Amino acid sequence: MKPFFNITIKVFVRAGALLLACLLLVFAACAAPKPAEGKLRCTLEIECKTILDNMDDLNADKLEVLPEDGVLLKKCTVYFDEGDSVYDMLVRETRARGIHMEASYTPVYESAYIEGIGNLYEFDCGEGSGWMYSVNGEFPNYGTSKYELHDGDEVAFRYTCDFGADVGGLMGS
Amino acid sequence: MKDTELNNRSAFSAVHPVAALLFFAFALVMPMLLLHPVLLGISFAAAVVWSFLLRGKKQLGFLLKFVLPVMLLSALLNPVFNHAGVTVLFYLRYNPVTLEAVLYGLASALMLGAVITWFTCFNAIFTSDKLIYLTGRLMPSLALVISMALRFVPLFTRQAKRIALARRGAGMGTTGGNVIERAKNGLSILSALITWSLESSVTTADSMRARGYGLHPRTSFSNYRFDGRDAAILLFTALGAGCSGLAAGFGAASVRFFPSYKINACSPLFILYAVLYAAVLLLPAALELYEAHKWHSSISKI
Repeated sequence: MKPFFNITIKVFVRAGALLLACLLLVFAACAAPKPAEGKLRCTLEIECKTILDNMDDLNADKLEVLPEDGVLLKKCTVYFDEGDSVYDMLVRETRARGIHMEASYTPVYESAYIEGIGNLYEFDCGEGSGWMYSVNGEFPNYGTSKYELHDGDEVAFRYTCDFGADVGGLMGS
Repeated sequence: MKDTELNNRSAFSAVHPVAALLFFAFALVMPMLLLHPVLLGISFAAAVVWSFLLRGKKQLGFLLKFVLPVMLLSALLNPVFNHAGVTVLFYLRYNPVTLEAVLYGLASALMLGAVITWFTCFNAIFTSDKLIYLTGRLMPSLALVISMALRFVPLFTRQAKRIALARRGAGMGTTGGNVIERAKNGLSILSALITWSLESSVTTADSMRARGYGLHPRTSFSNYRFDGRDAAILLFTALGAGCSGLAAGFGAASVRFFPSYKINACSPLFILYAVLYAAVLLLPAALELYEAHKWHSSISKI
């Protein structure tokens, strides 16, 4: 019996240490992004109106997270710091407003890829659906964390259901 | 008579392999199809109970050292990589950690635990003679090759130990001398082992031919008769599978994790199904206990 209990205790200690390490990792990593201190301004808009025209393609589970008018964030003015990228600003503003947003770093493009905003993810509304962004009406063909913001920029995140054609930024054109 | 006596004589191992195989198929596939936490909990609990009856204390070590850490890891890792869900708990770097992802991680941990534990039961019940019995008629040569290959592993280990022991007795063991000497002695063991294995395979082939291998349709070492108990187990499993299909069709056991957690756990239809599911999965454990009880009470009191 004795060696058996020793093993049990060892296992619990090991599992506890693992858990503690994970928790430490989590808390060390969840430092919030700092609020902007600068006086530079840009506008931000997040919308998914194209889904309203393609309701048949929408994943039925996502109906409850779809805003009625297709607007997740009305066009508003936000502050940013010198050197901030579109991604830095998006992270800060969505988090401050409690809007869900998930992004992942894509090594091939050395940039962040926006997977989903407000629980509306890529491929939720057909094969060619996902988030795109435009600055001053132009759709840059590279990632958000590579685009450095300038004073007065107008940033818009739009959900496309057709590879960008329905929001005016067909990929590659 | 102690309870550990069950280890050597499991009641379920006498069940006809076809019935047993279908039961295991049901028990192993259901947790993967229905991610409903209540059903997963039932499946995991039933598997744990039976695995304890089959393997006794050995199972506790396995559970604590392997199954629980795997479950813990899966439950912790899911919310780290999956950020979907409407209830944000806190932020991990730039991505939200959501309640839905945590719940999904817990459900998949339960699923993993259940499947692993059912597999330990499967391994305890499905000995190689049962596999041969099942596959022997369909693909005789393949079944034979597989069972022989599996048998060669323990056979080799045993023979290698024997050779090493004999050599150590003659002062040529692998424990003494410098590295080169030990390597030389080790290689001699390997060489002896290979010689022996070649010879033994020739002997096996001769012996098999002498006994008329391949003249008749295959027979098996174990002879199973499909009796009433096997039919009952088969029927019960089929009933469980049929009801699972119905329950899934009516959405009685539905659960949705993303974007928000929605579970159907209180409808009378679900409760009815959950009770039936538990009854089917607890069948082997009940059979073990019933047989053990019968054995105990049959012992003469004089």
